[in-house]
Amino acid sequence: MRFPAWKNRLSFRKLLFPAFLLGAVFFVASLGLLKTVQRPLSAFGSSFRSLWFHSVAEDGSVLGNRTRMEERILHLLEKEASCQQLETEMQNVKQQLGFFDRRPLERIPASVLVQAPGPLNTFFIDRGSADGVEAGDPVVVAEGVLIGKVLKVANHHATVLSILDPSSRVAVAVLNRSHSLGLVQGMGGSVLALHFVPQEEPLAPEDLLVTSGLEPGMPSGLLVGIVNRVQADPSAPFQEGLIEPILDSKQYHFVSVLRSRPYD
Amino acid sequence: MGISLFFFVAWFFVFAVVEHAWVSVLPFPFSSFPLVFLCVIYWVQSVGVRQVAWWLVAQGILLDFWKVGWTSTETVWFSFSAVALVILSRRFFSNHSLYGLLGCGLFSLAILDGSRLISLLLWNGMESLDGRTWLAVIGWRVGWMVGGLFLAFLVSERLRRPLSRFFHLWH
Repeated sequence: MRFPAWKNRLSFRKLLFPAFLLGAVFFVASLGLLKTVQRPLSAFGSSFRSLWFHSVAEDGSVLGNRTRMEERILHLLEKEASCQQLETEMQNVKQQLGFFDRRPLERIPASVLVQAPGPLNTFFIDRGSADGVEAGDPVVVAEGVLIGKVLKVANHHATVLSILDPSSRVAVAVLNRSHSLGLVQGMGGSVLALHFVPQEEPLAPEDLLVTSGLEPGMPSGLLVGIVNRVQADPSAPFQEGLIEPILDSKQYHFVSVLRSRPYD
Repeated sequence: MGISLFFFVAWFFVFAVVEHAWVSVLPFPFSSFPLVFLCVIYWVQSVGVRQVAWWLVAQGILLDFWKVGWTSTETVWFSFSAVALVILSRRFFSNHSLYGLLGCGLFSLAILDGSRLISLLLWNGMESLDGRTWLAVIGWRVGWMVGGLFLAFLVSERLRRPLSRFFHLWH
């Protein structure tokens, strides 16, 4: 049975258009051909987000209160000074004991191309295995603020899981006298939860959390967050805490992937 | 036909890149604006170009490729939504009424977001869903969609033909 010509043409069009579209999607996505457009758009969006939080956000919001953030920055600078002093003392001790530096770190700069929408916490960067990125590598911004870990790697791009995601776990140490160890887990929103800090360890609001270095591939000393509230239940074996991230990672378009170089 | 095919593919990439590289970085609630979904609903229901529903499937593939979707099987849920949209558009809602446009949009969005949330619950458990956050996100998605479709309907009667010619999506 032969169909009229117009009916054949219509059926052909119905098949051709979606086939071409899906083929183009696979082709463009796998070769990363959209990067040149995604980078400036992502940068523009990050700038707008930064401007928004500095000028428009409500009072009392975690990331929007500029005065509170400036006070916190000053407090952090003071803590940084005491940390540097401690580091100098530690270097002296290491030299005396004959240790060597086991953590030379290589920074791989990357741009954020795509952010997951809404409350989701993954993003897509333009560096991959060809640039030396591996799954599990930490991703930082500024001078060493941890924002995520590499989740999946392809040749020229990678997906990063933010520390805010509920499936993210980071081994941390509290910057206090006893250097208490704990585990930070994302809560899916804009805060983190601190778990497994023993009851007898001192834990107080405004304490800084850094990575403990106990995880493979995760160097120690990367800033994670600040203790906002301590939930101490005397009957429980561990204390819990509510942690504020140091900064809003979505305001940053440029990030760095840290790689530990092998021993020479 | 070649020009229509080119623009059919090109306009999808324009809207997808704008949504996922720019809109998703904006502060909430702007980051939950469903740009591609809005365009698809409008073109399928109001303009009558049902093949644009394939943009949803393509968007699902992109989200799975970049791993920035709600689940790891976005292609499946977006495909469900596209099929539902075409059926609703063909059999249930007329294409020249505001109610038809909103009805198509709301039902398709409900199928899409509902299936994704159920998938999240089944695969990742309750801890993956912070109720208030997700309610806010979905609420704003519905709000943006209703507002966007309403605005599109107000101007569409005058602009439908010029829009179709400009985007080279045939009517």
